[in-house]
Amino acid sequence: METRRRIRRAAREGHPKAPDPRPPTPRRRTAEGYANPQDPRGRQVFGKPASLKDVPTHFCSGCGHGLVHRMVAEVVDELGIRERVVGVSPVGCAVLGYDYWDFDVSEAAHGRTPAVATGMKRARPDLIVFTYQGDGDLAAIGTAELIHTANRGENITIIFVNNAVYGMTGGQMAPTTLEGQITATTPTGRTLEGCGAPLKVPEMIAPFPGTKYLVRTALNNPHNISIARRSIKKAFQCQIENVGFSLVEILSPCPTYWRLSPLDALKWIEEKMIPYFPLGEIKVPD
Amino acid sequence: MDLTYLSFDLADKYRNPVLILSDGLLGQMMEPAVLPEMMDSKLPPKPWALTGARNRPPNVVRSLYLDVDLLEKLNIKLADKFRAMEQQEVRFEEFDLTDAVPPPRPAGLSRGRHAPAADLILVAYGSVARICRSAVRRLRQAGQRVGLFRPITVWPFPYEPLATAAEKAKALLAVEMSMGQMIEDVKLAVGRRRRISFFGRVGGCVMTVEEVVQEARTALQEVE
Ligand SMILES: Cc1ncc(C[n+]2csc(CCOP(=O)(O)OP(=O)(O)O)c2C)c(N)n1
Ligand code: SF4
Ligand SMILES: [Mg+2]
Repeated sequence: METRRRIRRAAREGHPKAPDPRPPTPRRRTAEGYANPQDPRGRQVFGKPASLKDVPTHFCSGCGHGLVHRMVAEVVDELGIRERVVGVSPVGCAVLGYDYWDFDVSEAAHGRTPAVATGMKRARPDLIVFTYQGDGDLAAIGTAELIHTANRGENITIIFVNNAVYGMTGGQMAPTTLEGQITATTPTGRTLEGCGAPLKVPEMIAPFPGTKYLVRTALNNPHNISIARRSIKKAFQCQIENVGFSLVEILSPCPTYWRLSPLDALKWIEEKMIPYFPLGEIKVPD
Repeated sequence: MDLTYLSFDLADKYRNPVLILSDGLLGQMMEPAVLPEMMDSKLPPKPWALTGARNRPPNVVRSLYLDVDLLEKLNIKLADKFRAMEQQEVRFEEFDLTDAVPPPRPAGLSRGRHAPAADLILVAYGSVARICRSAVRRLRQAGQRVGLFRPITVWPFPYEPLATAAEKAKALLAVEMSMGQMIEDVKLAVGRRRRISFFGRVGGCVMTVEEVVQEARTALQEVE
């Protein structure tokens, strides 16, 4: 208490080392970033992206979806495409994407996401169209749409959030569930016999001439998060430059249905998921 | 063909799918057709479209509302839309049903509005309606009072018009390429006041005009 009072007095009296007593300038949200050049104290380096609404999240604590929502919003701001981007949200925990993103968004029937995006992009090639899909939406019920959209080389971007379970419906096995992983529908662990091997989506569609940029990233640590963010940006750029189909897979925690603490979920990504789903660019434009 | 044009416009107007009920006969195009010129339809503006959130708040196309109050609002809005379609989009055709006094005319077929009221009404849509029309012609030539009611839209179903038409008839015969689907709507429209029978062929079999004539005669005998 006493210290704070002394600091305030020092500031009033113009002590050179005293902290700035002025109330902080409100964060300015600009499409270019968060810098506020008017603020004599310097650049503001962190804030909410303009493309993200200021609302509380519905995701479980430690869930990766919120982070990916944010990264998409940041990239949309950075590329200055908020007024021509259209998102297609999946059926899954991320269906409410439009509650968070401050741009045009459509729902689609479960797994039909890339088909809806195809229609939008073909009708309005000037729009930047992306789908945001979970592993159930993309790799189970929506496999046909994914494969044919990729094979046709539609100029859209897919953000593929792989959390190795159906989160929304209670943690059932997904095509990406790891061998031995316990889920609601594999109480003794997934077996390869009967369930097949976990699907590696980018590797599966890499041979298609229509696919241009395929990458797998993870949210297990800040380094990988920043790679994920860069990859999302690269994927959008791919579309903006009319290079063609891009897909970013993101290994993302679902602490709730992995029955792990948020921290242990990150460890699980590193120790269990990444060895099976290797990170890195699987295909880059020529 | 005209209905195909119309169905696209209606789907656009109401933002509602329009299903064109086709069948094997239509699918295999058994007769030549000339496609009409592309029409310039007057379609409603689409302020809801996802065109990029420029100078307006973001648009969202959704059907999921977790908030029950919002969902109820949506359900009511949709119900209103369905009511509007029921009021404005019922389409049907009548053939040889009425008993308008026939004006003096040369000998020959008595057709259309000049026929005496039908005792038996065939109810059929699509390809079956064409077969039934031939059957009606043949029965009329033989002096039998038979007409055809053809729903053009099976939803919204022309309940009222069919009920009105049935007032002067003694019986109805639903003819369908099914085991009996539309007959439920016929019953809903007419109730128990008239005898309603059914004739259907399935599995890709198509009824002949003779078969329909025969079924119609049986149905007539039952009420005479
Ligand atoms: C046609 C249809 N089938 C099944 C469902 C039930 N369902 C809702 S979400 C979901 C799986 C979602 O899993 P995922 O795509 O991995 O998303 P997550 O919640 O894990 O992010 C399923 C099967 C549905 N809504 N619609
Ligand atoms: S269930 Fe899993 S995916 Fe869904 S919000 Fe919770 S942590 Fe996220
Ligand atoms: Mg999932």
